[in-house]
Amino acid sequence: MNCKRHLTFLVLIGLMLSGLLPQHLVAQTPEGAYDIVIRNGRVLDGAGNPWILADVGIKDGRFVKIGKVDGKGKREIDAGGKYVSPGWIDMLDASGGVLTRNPLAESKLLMGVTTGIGGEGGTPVPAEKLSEYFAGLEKSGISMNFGTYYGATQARVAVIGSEARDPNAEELSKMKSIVETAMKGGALGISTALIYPPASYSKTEQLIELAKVAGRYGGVYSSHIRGEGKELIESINEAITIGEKGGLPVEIYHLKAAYQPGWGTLMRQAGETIEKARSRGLDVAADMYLYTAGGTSLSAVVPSWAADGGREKMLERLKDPANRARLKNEIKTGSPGWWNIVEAAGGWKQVVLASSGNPEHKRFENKNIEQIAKEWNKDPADAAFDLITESNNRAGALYFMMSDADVETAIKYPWISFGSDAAASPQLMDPNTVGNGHPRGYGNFPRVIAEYVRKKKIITLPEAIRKMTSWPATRLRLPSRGTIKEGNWADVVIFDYDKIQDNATYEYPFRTPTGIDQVLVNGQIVIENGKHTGARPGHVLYGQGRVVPTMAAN
Amino acid sequence: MIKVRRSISGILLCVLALSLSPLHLSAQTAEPSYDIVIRNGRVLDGAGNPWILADVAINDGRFVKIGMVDGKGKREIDARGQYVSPGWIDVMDQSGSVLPQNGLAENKLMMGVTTAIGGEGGTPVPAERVAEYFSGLEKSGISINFGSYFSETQARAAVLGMQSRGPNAEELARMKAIMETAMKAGAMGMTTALIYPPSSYATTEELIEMAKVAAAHGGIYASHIRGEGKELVQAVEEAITIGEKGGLPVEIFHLKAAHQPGWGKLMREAGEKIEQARARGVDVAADMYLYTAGGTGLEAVIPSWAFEGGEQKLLQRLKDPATRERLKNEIKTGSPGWWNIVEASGGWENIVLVNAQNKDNARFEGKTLAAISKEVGKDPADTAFDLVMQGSGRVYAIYHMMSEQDITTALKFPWTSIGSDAGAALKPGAVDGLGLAHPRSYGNHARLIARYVREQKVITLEDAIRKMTSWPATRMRLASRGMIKEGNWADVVIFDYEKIQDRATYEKPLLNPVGIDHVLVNGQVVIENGKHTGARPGHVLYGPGRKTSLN
Repeated sequence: MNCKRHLTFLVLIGLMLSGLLPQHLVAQTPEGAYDIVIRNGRVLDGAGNPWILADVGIKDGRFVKIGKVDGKGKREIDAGGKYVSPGWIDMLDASGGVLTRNPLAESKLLMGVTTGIGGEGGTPVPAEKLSEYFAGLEKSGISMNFGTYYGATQARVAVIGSEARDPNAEELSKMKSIVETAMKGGALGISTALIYPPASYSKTEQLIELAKVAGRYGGVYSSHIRGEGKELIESINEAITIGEKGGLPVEIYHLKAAYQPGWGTLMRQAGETIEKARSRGLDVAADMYLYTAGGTSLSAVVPSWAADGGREKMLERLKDPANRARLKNEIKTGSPGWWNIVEAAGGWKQVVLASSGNPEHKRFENKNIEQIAKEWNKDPADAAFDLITESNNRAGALYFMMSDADVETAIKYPWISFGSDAAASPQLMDPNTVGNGHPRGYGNFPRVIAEYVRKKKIITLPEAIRKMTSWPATRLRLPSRGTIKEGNWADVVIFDYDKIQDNATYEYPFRTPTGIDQVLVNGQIVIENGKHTGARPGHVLYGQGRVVPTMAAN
Repeated sequence: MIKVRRSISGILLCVLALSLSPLHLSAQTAEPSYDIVIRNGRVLDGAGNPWILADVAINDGRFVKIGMVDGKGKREIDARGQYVSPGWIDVMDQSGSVLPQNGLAENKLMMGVTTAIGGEGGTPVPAERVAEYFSGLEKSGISINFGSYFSETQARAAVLGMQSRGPNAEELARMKAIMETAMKAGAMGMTTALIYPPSSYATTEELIEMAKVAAAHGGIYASHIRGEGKELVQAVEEAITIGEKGGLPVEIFHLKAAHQPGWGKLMREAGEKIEQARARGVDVAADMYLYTAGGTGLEAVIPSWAFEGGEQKLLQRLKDPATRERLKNEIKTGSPGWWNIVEASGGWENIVLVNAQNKDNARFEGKTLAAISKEVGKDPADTAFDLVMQGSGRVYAIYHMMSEQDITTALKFPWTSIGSDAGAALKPGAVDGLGLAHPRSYGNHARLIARYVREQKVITLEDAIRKMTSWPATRMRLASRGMIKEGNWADVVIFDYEKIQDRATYEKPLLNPVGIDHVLVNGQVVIENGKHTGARPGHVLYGPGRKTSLN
């Protein structure tokens, strides 16, 4: 058999199929050589490098040429005087549940986010349905790229519910096999959020065991650590221990020093703790958002034992006078295994009701608990507990507990990336809505540039871009993303450095940013002149441990 | 019909045979899935990012997986405790003429350089033979990746010879055509070395016209600027003007402040000048080497007008007592269009003869011109002139004219990259191809980490790596290089941060560094345990204007 002759034929067919032949031909016929060419921009490659003046040619979703681009694009974008950056990566996204309902994720894309990494609270489906969930996103289409961690707490709850106890050996092995299922389903790793019950019931040893499973599948351990106030350092050390013994990289979510007396010292110590771990070879890093207030459920003010058995149990206990008295006392004196967020914030005055979850309490929104208590003529703890019970635990609060100096300290750490800690809005909110949210959901990423690069000059522009692009991509082992280099997926943000501005505030948290002209995801324009084009070119980003579901044998 | 059917079944058989290759089976069997896997290293991606702990898998010359690598490599490299970096780029290399003779480039690779960009002085062949020169390198094989600029001076000399005048319109058109030929052959852009005649005869306007040609082909203008001493800022400005009016990026070669009274000040001003240009949108950057001494021909001490008409004319002038007196006087007082390197060095006691190119004068090597002149009982300028005349090739000297403080300042500029200004040696342990014994040819890139990161903590390790990898790659518009990312060419340096050390000194300039364990070029191991493997996996890197003939 003359294989050689057959092979030549095959190679020709192969070339035609792979589209290589037409590409060769386009060299001679520059018309439509590219899908999109972005001209004359200051191209920031994402690698922390200063800009270069270059054209960027895009074809089939990827960057194909950077430099002088001769051929024309079907679409030409003039970026003269603008910056062209790789798309921004949100390392702490919470859109997992929203994307199935609103795949357009307008609030994310309008602030330049082209990739969201969700899952601090886990996936919206159990481990065994993760593949299906991802396939569903792919089928319906999403406007940004999205990957997610699986919540270690999901595995815990699946086996022992919301009980405040340790799993026995058999239960632990069940939990491990659930984590394994999630990793094979394509999770990027496992996450914990250790201030919230029942996650807070998990001991370090148990987490190490689950981390080992994620580690075997190339996963990362990402954690909202056990305490972010005076116990910040011990909490970071716990995360580091889990990474070290579990044999996997560690990501500290939203690094912050939420404890007024520790402002100026805790954050520096946290940095040193992470540097020390890195210098002995541990792959640890952190992300952060850029506001001095955190935002979460108001129920975070309730000592965690009260949630043993679940939400209903907590609401019951809050209604019981004896329990209530005990809980009120513990908010003053502390409770083992609970992070006292009221103390961290420096008192009830620093805790603001952002969303009431009850029309009758609407009048209290944007007021702090101390004010509300006064108006309501109640003790502040009672006021908070009532807001929780009467909203069926839907009340959300802002906790003003960080200092801007610490934010500035953290931004400079070379291993910091940025995460909004926000979900995409189910639909774009009215910009004139007062309160009812946290501005990070609409402003976090432009704020890095507007506030901390341009205004305060805390870090340089290339450094800021690096922390929003190549660093998170490298950190999460995302292939072919995070830099504007030939062959990479063409996620792009084109912005005007002088005009870029986050407009969301605590008062008006839903104001979209300005100064971002275009946002591209996988080579398609998703945002143009401040409007979502409706395109859904996003990819699901799978973890390295994914086992692709095999087609049924028949 | 029958034929076609037979052909199709044949194809099917061939396809089956191909698809049953060991690669496809590797998941089930223990057959290697990758050519090379580098395990457990601290991987610096080159993007200025902190390291991550990861395995790096390489196939067919490229990175294919970074992270957790399950499959085995035909070759497994244990990098535990070591750093894994993209290969280092020497943005100011002088190996153009050496590589056809010695493609192994040992001294480059031993210091971690996997890619070199040559051509400050042009290509070793004229424009019309550049394509042939490049394909010659590809045919004979080279161990590093190599690209080169074409020099404006080559085009000038081809048309005007050594005359100091400007070209007329017709001559300029010919020079432009030559530049175009070089760009189409794959030059990276256009260079000048404006302190050396006849390059120094070129006016700014001439250079702008020529730069436009390079620009039309996507090239860069890279320049050894007209003065690096007290006139540094104006010289930087000239380069910026050429870039701005020529419409192309500018690279300032070996940024330095070579003027003792200006130490601590000039470099900051040069930095500001470049920042200002960048702020208004001009794509300017610079590179540098990491020593306080420069090295070049000793003839640089002679005012440039004396070179007009070429070497014979120079020798005649040096023999003429009156001319000699004039030149000696000008070394003290200056001469228009000439950069006074003697003044920049702070006098003859800071100029050291390193290669006399003359058996009798070899005894003076390693001594300062001040010391030599005392020994021979002559005026130092006369001594220098005599040494130049007696050399049977280019006589080399080292000029101690920069300050450590300024190196530190320049390293912190975010847009500086690293260039050695040195060529590959013709054989291991020999003086570099130029004949210039300067420690930068054996130590430069390793020195960045040993001295300026580890010892002096001037910049961080990840920033140092960025300056040697992704930044020059982005700057030079090199596709698929400069970072450890899937799909990129696998140029790699594996080094021990505690042990890495440049050992070359002015006294012993030919010592290889230590602490670099492995160097890979395009996925092949070229340096292993401090030894060159003989592999020649290097690519020629072509400029963006290259036109390949389609036969």
